[in-house]
Amino acid sequence: MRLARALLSGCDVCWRGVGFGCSPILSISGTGVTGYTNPCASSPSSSCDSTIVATVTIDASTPANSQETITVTAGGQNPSGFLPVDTGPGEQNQATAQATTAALVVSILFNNHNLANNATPPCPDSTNSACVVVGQQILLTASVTLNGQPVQLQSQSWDQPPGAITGGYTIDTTTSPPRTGQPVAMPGTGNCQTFQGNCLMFYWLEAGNGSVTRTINYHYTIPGQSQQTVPAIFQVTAPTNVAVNVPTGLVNIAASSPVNNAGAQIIYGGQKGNAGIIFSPSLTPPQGPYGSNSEIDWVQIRSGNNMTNLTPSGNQYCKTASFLAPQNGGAADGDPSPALDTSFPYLTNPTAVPNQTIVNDNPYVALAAGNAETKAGESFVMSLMWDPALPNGCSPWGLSGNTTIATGCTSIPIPLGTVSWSYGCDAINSLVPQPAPNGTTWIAGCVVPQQAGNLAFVPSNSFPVWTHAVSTSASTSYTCKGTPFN
Amino acid sequence: MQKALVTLMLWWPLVAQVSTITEQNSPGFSLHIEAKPPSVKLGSAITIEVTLTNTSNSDLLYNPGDFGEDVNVRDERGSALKATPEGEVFKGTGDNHKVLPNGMYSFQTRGNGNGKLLIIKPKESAVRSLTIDGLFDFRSPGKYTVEVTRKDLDSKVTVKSNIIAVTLVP
Repeated sequence: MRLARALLSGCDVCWRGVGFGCSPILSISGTGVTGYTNPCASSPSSSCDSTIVATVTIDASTPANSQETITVTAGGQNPSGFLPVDTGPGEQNQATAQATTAALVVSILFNNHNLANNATPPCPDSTNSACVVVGQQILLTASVTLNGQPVQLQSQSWDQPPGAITGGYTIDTTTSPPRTGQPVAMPGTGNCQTFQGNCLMFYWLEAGNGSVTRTINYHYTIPGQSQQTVPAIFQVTAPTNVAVNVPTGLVNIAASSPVNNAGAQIIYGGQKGNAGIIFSPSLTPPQGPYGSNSEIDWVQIRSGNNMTNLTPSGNQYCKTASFLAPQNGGAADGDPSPALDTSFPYLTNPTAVPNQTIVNDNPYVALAAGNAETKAGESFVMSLMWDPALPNGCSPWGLSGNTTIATGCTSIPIPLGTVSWSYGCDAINSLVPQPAPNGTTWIAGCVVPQQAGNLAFVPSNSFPVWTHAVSTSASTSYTCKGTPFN
Repeated sequence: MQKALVTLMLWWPLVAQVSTITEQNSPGFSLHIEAKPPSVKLGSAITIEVTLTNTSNSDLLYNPGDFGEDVNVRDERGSALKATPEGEVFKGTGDNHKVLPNGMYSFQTRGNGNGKLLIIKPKESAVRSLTIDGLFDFRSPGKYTVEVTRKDLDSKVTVKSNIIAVTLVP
C-alpha cells in the first residue's frame, strides 16, 4: 500500500486501500503537523475498511517539501491487515507511507516585485518598489499557485485602498483643445477597477502630511476553505510645502494692449507693469521616487463672459454664446458649464523664463461701439497639478503651441489645489477721447478690484473637470436679451 | 521655491523695461508668413503660419492665444477681397449683428478674451496659425495674395510680413 499525497494545511486527506478494518487507527507525524482528525476512529463504519478521510493541520510556516510520516493501523473485527502479512481475528497490522508538503504561494505583484505580506517599506528608497508617490500608477496582480500551477479560487477581491484615490484622469485629445477632461471613478467598470478579480489599478491623490503607510488587502477563498487575507503595504509620499503666490493687478480700459489689438476693451492688467494675475508655485518634491521629467501643470477653467450693455432700448443682458445651450440662443454646441481655457495644460512661458512653472492671465472684453455703458466680467478657477512622470524618462502631458501633446507616462497629474478668481468692470462711454494710456472714449466706472492684491491658494484633491473648451478664435459671439440670463 | 519667487520678482520689472528700451521708431519685431499648404481646395481651411521674431534687444510680450494681426487678401487682379461678416468683426468694422428668436439677438466682438502673455527673448520667435477662410469671401478658384500686419505698440510702427500666394483649386 502506498500512502502519498500532497498535504495542505487544514485540508482533507484521503487514503484508499483494502482491509483497514472498520475502525482503523491513523497516526500522522512530521515537520509542521499540528493535528489531524480520524472520523473512522470515533465513528467506525464498513467504509473505513477501504477509505479513510482525515483532516490534517499543518503549521503555516512549514517549509515546502517537508516529509510527513503517515501510519495506518488496521483494527476491529477481522481486519485483513496489509498483504502479504497474514492476520488473525482481533489482530492489528500497520503500514507506513511518506507524504510531502507542497507550498501554496500567494503573490501580489507590483512592478515585478511581490509585495504580499511585505513589511513596511522604507522611503526614500528607490530600490523598494513599495515606496510610491501620488499620481503613480498602482497596478497590482495577485495569484495563488500550488507547485507552480494556478489554484482554482472560489472568490477573490480587494478592499478599497485607503486614502483618496482615482481610477485615472481622462483627457479627450481627439479635439484641440481637448473637449473633455474628467477623473475616472473607483470602483469603476474598467479593467482592474472593479475591486473584484485578480488585479487592481488606481492612483493615490494624497499622502496625508506628505508620507503615509497604507495597506491594501487582497482576499481569496479556496473552495471548501475559509477566506484568506493577504496584505500589501505601501509607503505613499507626496509633494509638501505646496504654495502659490498669486499677485493681482488692476482692471483698466485701453485702446489696445500687448494682449490684443481688439480696440476699446476692458482688460485685467495686460499693461506693462500691470499684469492681471500671476500664478507662481513652489513645492518640495516627495520623498518617494519620481521621474526626471516630473512637472507642474496648470489647468484653467472659465465660466464665460457675462455682459450688460446699456443701449438706446435699455439694458441688454449678454452672455458668451458658447456658454449657452442652443435652445437658449447659444451656439450649436453651447454648454453652460465652465469650459477649459484654451489648452491643456495651460500655456507656460516656453523659452523666456528659466522656471517654466509661472503662468499669467490678462483676460479682456472688447467693448462694442454704440453702447452707453458696458458691465462685463468673468470668473475662473486655476488648478495646480503635479505629475511624477513615471516610469522614469517618460514624457508627460505637453503643448505644441496651443495643441495638447498626449502623455507617454503611466502616471497622471494629480490636483494640488486651486485659485478661484474673477475680474469685472463697468465701462462708461463718455464719447470724449481720453488721454493715453486709455486712448478710448470709455472711462472705467469699476471699483473691483480697487487695488493690486494677492489671492489665496486653496489645497484640494479635486480634479479640474470640463465638457467643452474655449479655443483661440478671431472673435467672440454673444447672445443678448432684455432680461438677465439665469 | 526660492527660484520661483526670484523669477516672479523679475517678471514685473521686465515688463516695465520693454517700453524704455525699444527705440521709438524702430519696430521691435518682424513677421514672416507661410501658407500651410500653399494650395488648397476651394472651401477648405486656409491656414497661414505666422512667425513673429523679436528683433529688439529687449524682451517682448506676446499673446499667442489672440489674433493680434490684421490680414490683407487680394485676388489675381490685385483687388482687395471682400470681408465676410466675421471678417468685418476681425477688421473692427462690424459686429455681425443677427436677430434671434424670442426677442434675442447676437453680435460679435474682435478677439477671444485670452490673455496669456509670453515673454519672447531677443532673436527668439513665436509661431502661430491663422485660419483665414472664414474672414474673407473666397468664392472662386484662383491665386490670391496674403499679407499680415501687426502694430508695434511701442514704436507705433505697423509691421508688414512678406507677401505670399495661396492657390485655391476647384
